[in-house]
Amino acid sequence: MFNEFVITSETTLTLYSSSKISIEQQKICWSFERLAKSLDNVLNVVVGMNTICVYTNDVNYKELCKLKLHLDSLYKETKPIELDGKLIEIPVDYGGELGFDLLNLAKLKKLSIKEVVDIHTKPIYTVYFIGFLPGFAYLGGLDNILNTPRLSIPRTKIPAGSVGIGGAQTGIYPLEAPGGWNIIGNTSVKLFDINKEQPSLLKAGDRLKFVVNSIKESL
Amino acid sequence: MRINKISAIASIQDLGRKNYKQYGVNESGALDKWSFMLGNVLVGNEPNTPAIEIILGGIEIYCDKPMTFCISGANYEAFIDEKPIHNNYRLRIEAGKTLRLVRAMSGMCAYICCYGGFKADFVLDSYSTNFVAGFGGYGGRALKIGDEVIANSKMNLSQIAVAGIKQQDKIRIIQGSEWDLFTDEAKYSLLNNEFIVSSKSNRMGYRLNCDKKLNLENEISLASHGVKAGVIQVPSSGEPIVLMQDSQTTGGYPKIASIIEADLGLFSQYRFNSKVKFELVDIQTALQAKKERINHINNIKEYASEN
Repeated sequence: MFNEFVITSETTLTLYSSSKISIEQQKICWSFERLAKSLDNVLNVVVGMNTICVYTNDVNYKELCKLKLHLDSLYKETKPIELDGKLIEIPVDYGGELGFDLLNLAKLKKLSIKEVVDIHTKPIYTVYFIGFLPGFAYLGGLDNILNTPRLSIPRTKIPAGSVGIGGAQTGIYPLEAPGGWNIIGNTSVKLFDINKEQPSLLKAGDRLKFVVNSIKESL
Repeated sequence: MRINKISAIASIQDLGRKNYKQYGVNESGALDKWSFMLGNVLVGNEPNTPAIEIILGGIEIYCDKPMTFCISGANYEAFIDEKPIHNNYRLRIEAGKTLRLVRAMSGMCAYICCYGGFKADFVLDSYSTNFVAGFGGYGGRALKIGDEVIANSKMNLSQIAVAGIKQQDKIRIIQGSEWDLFTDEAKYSLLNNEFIVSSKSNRMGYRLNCDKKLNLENEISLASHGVKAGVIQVPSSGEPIVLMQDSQTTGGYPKIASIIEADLGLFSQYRFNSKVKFELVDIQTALQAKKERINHINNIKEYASEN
């Protein structure tokens, strides 16, 4: 869509990616976050899926426009960085009561349940960023066969530990929350614990592998 | 002080947790930030002092110690014991008396601000209650009967009153980054039709119902990106959702518009099933309106410190 920052509110500037989601673009986003954090008038930087949102302090229009130009030029110069993350295995119970969309998703894709699970557990995913909910990791690496649109009306309640697919993305709900993703399974691994020094189990750059704990073919 | 009765959703809030969005931690904080700040500065506090937010219902609080306090935000039928009291008045309540907020006559969220603030859990740089993950504020949850909330009561202050945030006919919005991708009918509808605040709304988002669905020219799928309170996102059902303080940190639904920061407090006061109309402004107007709100708060702060 764009390759420059757009003023999206009185206190946000957002950069949307123009091309297909890629790890190369994400490495530039990670690098940019580190550079932009310390700029004047920047409160916080949130990396999304190949996107960047910069949150500002209270600024006037002139300062906002100046910051936009500054961010644009900084972005052009940003070189990708490598993050050395850990590899974490997440055991998943696929299908059944807690994987309530698996059956429909398999039907939609004209695949068997087993095939969907095989495709989902095959890749080693990369944590692109943490967002949406405390400790919610957005994972890159989903096989395009499983790319499934979000629900037209988001559900008001999704159980903690739900493993879902939203568009080209897959991830795990760390807490009970509303959400629009297709839920294919559930894990008992705790992804967010405020009592830990690092409350989020996963961070950007980590790698993740889903492993089968069980598969249920029906609801 | 002790909560003796409660039917409201009440929680301890401040201006929110802004620095942990990169870990997915929701901002939380007061829904009507302007009324929250107004209440705080009226009682001599810094604007970002923890206060009690009361939504929808009533609350009865027994005070075992005196405190200087005020009620701001929604216009509540309220009493100290049997004596009626008013919004935006700086008052003193004596030990042994009961503060009763019976029902909101207009608006949705009120704030009880106390000179010195309330004791609360300070987690990740904020006192606000994170309902989603259950931390901050009062044990990370809404207040219930029997809870003991500690007011850091400071000295007595004179009784003064100020005007609240002025009502408006329309809520001002600016174009969202996907504005151009919506149909002309959708844009027309957003600016000319009334929207009804759904009773399915909560602190995460206010859902709006409308006769004419807001449709895109072509379906699109966006990569998830940072969002904030005030964003009007439109899932493919065509019925908009306005993100509020407990909203997710990132989202992927197309954003037709954003409620300007100056008016988000007023919007949060719309009751379920009431009708809201929007008016489009530019970013300069939005920033100017915010500056005026900040000036208003500063004026009250100055007045409160002189009296």
